Amino acid sequence: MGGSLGSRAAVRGVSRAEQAPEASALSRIPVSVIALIAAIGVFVSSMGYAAGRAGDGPGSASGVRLYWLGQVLILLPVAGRLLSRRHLTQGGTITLLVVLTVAQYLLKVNYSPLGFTFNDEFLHYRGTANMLASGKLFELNYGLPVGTHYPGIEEVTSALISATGLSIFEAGLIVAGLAHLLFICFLYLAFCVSIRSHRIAGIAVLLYYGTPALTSFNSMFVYETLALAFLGFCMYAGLRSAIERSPQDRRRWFIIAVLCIFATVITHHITSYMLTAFLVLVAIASRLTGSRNTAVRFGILATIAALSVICWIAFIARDTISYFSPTVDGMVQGLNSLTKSGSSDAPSTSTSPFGNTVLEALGILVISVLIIIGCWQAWRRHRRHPWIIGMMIGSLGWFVDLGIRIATPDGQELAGRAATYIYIPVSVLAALALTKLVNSGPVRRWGAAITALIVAAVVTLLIDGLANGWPPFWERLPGPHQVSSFEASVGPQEIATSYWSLTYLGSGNRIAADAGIYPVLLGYGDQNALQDISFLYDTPTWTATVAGEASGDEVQYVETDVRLTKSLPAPGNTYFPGDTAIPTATIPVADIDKYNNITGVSRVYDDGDIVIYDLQSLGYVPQKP
Amino acid sequence: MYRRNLDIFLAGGIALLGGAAFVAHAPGPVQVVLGIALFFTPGYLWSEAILSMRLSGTERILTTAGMSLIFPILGGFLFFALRIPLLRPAWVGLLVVLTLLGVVAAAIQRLREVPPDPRLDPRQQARGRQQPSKARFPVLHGFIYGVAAVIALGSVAYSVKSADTQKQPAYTMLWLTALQNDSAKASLGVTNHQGVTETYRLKFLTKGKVTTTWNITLSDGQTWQRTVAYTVDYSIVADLYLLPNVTTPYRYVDNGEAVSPSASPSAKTSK
Repeated sequence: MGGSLGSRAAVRGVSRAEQAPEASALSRIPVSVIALIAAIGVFVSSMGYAAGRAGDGPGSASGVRLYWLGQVLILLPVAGRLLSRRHLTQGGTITLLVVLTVAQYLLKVNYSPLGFTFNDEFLHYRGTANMLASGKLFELNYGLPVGTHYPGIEEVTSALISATGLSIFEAGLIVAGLAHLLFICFLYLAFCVSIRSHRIAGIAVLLYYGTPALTSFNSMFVYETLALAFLGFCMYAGLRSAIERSPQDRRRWFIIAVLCIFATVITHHITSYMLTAFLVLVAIASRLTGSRNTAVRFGILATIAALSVICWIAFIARDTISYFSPTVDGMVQGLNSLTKSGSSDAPSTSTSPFGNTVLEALGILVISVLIIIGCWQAWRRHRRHPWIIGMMIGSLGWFVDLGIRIATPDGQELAGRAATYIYIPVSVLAALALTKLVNSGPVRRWGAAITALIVAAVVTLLIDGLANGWPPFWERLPGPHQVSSFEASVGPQEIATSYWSLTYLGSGNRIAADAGIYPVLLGYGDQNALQDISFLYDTPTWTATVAGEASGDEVQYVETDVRLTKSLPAPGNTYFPGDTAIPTATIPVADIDKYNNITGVSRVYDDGDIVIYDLQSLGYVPQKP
Repeated sequence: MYRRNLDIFLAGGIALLGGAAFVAHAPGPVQVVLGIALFFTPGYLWSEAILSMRLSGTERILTTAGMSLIFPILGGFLFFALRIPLLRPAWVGLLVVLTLLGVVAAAIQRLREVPPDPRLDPRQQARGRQQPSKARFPVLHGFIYGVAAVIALGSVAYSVKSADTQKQPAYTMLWLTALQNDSAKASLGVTNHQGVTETYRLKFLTKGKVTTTWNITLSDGQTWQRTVAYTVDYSIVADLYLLPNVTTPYRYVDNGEAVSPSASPSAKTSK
């Protein structure tokens, strides 16, 4: 190996497929020009965002058109160049992937360039602010109690802020962006090392871009984003530790892999479990394929990962088990009922437009077919290859993911989140299948026409990932305020109210609030915003039952927003956090105005829309330390 | 020898400068540049020390960045175990110490390592073969990448401006809340977010009677605030009027105690 990835390709030379001539116009465009087109695409999509802000948000037809035009400008040249049979160097391939990743990340930044709006980011904003203020690792974070015990991203951001003096938002963007880029690059390098073809590796990463959460949740300022970078780094280091010729070099990469395991375990729960599963999978596949050395290496790494996870849960993050119990129970019940009766009891939460649903169904069909072809390819041509056989076994998780999507409550979101990990083996298998298809005799005879068709199909897959990812269609573009609708509800009033609450009420107050301001109160306000509090907004009068429940929940403050009485939340959303029933009518004015008429309930804050009432004289008064 | 280890000296120097910039409270941009360098230097040095074999440029950049993200996590956990508070000086100290240790580790590693023979390095040979084609359009490609970067960064600036100028609903914040450390006093305040300078009249009523009136002119974003006596034994109401309307309160807050009807347009009248 000689210590360099490039060396193997250099020694053996490029393959016949990599050199094959082709008439496709896209394949002749230099990588630098593709970068330029992608940059123009980012600008055009940003113009779409601006049109949304200036007009009707996602209702702005011209804005939506500009957004998708920009996306096509980003995706099409990159996909066309990666899928073409014309020779592309390893440097060219990685440059294209970097261009794609940076372009998508810039679009995420341009969606909310002034501050955090993605709900999960508020939780890590609070974690970082707490760490900077207290100097302690496991400070209570009301919005994400389990995240308190996974402080990796807060540590990295705190270190960067301390060294540079940047704000949490600026440092958060750097950390998240860097981590996201590293994840993609390490994934590519890991694919390169294992598949031994930078072309197929590039196509695999391109297909990985079909993951619905990749450009949203996996590039936000959240702990998973950082942990994924370590997962990718660990995969790469683990593979290098198995294939290096010199024992010294193998040892060195092994040390890096172990460091990555520790960092992953400290940073994010699910990613650390998935990393362990991945290491186990490759160890088993290596054993099955007779690669004893790789099996031992990965077996040791898997043992270290499993022990680290167990120790972390046992000694630091005990609440992880209770955090996941309801989700796991729901999944098991849903899958049980699916296997027994053939149908699920899970309520359908999908509210996507017809076009998105069709795209999603097509995507599932195409990926399923590609997996089957890829499995056949893997078995026929790579039966002795531990990594590819491992990926073949792992790709069967795709069908479990489909089961989760159909069978479990909130399965759409769970499946979307799980796809981040399941798409790793799936993309490898799909890339094998796609490369076989592109290089097959009939396709070569038809040349550019078939290649264009394949490029179009892949771009459609990627657009499916974007269309059915986050932000959803009802907030595709930033725009006017929408009630109780995630990012669309985060406006200046919510932000100002949250900062006000921290300054004048102090932190940690138990406050009932609507779903729109809820994450902002948790993040900027450092309040203990409550779930399952819709009973406080259900009656026109303050009854003994309501008072009893409020006292039982130890509610200190109630936030009301007059806009809740004027419009419904966006499709599929609820007015209050923790609710499951989708509202069909707006809240009656009397249901929120009742607090003006209760003696002892003081009206402490009023901005015209948002009002905060102090309920403490009625019941729960926290004991000051 | 000197040239071969120049990167180590540079890294050590940057770390010390970054630490000095923090201690001396250097101006913002200087601290940002040196701070970012300080953040990534330990990753570079330790990737040199651990992975001393010659990596390609891409691999070196990626391992450097990856390890730069790992060190604060493991270092922070170590500090936590040692009960060292993770305040800003501790983070900067951690990065400086990691850098200096990295300088030593990388230097030792290089002393122990036999310099590679470029003739035996396939990567070098490949580089040699590729040189003529690589050098064909470097300036043109560099220029195109530069234009792409300008357009991409321009899109961020454009989005910042677009978000900054987005029309938002005008609002005014009014509050009356007991002080956290003294329940006999309350903070009474107004913040103008109407987008323009506004003039308000704030009437403070106790037991239904106006005791104080303030005429307040606030520019956009400006806050007016007073500390007032506070109790829950009798009614306290603050009515804010947005001039010229002085008949209907624009905003109001109260302490939750009821008063007789008609004392204030906004006061509680039922118990």
